[in-house]
Amino acid sequence: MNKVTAEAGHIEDHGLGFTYPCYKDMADNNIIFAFRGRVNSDLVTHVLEMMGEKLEDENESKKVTKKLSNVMVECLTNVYAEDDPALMDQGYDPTALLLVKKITNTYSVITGSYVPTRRVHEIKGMLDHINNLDTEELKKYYKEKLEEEDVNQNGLTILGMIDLARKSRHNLIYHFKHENKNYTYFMLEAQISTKTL
Amino acid sequence: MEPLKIEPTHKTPKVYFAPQENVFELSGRSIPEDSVGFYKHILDWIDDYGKSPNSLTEFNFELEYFNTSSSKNILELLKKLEGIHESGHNVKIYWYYDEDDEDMEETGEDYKALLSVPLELKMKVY
Repeated sequence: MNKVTAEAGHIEDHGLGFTYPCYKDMADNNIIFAFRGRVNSDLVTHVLEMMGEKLEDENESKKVTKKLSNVMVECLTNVYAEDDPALMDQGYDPTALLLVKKITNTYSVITGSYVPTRRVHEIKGMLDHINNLDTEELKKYYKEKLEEEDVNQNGLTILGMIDLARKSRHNLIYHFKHENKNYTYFMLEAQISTKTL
Repeated sequence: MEPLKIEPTHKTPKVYFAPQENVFELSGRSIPEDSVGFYKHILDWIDDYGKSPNSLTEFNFELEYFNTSSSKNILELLKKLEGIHESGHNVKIYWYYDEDDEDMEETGEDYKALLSVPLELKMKVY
């Protein structure tokens, strides 16, 4: 039974006070799926299954389901590619956030994760470059990067971002929230319009 | 030559390379964290097979999803098949994609544009 405190005149929340604002935020932003945790390929598989079932329940078309799954694989792959072990002993949070929202005819897949602050400039430059390319230029750039023999992490990240832009057929939306000199929170959104599918 | 058969998992594809049966198939999902480690065995096997290949090798790719690092390894596999073709042996590659999956179709087109070995895109209709 909740107690009413005389001073505050409200019901004690037993530490659950954050739950309703959390729900409200998700509802107001049309979030249909949310996950926070470590990302690995097992997680990717489970997320795809859950989203597949959810979209099937909502009678979403197979084309949309497939497109959304392809974009989610790419988003999550980029997140675990960014899981930098060098930061692990600096007290940063290695978990990632995955959100899927739907507003009328557009799905958005949003990821949030920490990246080393020293990489912010480079990631921003990479995304700006990708966003400035048209469909044919993106295709050409993708093939160039695919053929590059250098398979370091940076090369894979660029290839993944190009692939994400091509699959979503929209510019990639991003934002960085600087936290300290070591790490910065990186938010990335890929949109999918169901109208064009 | 001994066949290479690897059972599929929820994150790695089925590998069924059986020269005696003339069946070569890579199918399912390819989203391992360590794709280089997974594909090394496959690429080594293809190197050996290339020393004495069948007169006709028909190779089927029927992938559901794959991640970025797998895409590099798949290109490497395709280039090895191209090498077998260029050494005078007949190689045909079939790239299957689901009728609802424009991305897998587009990826097949990208690979086709990068290779000289015959690669045919085949739509799976349900």
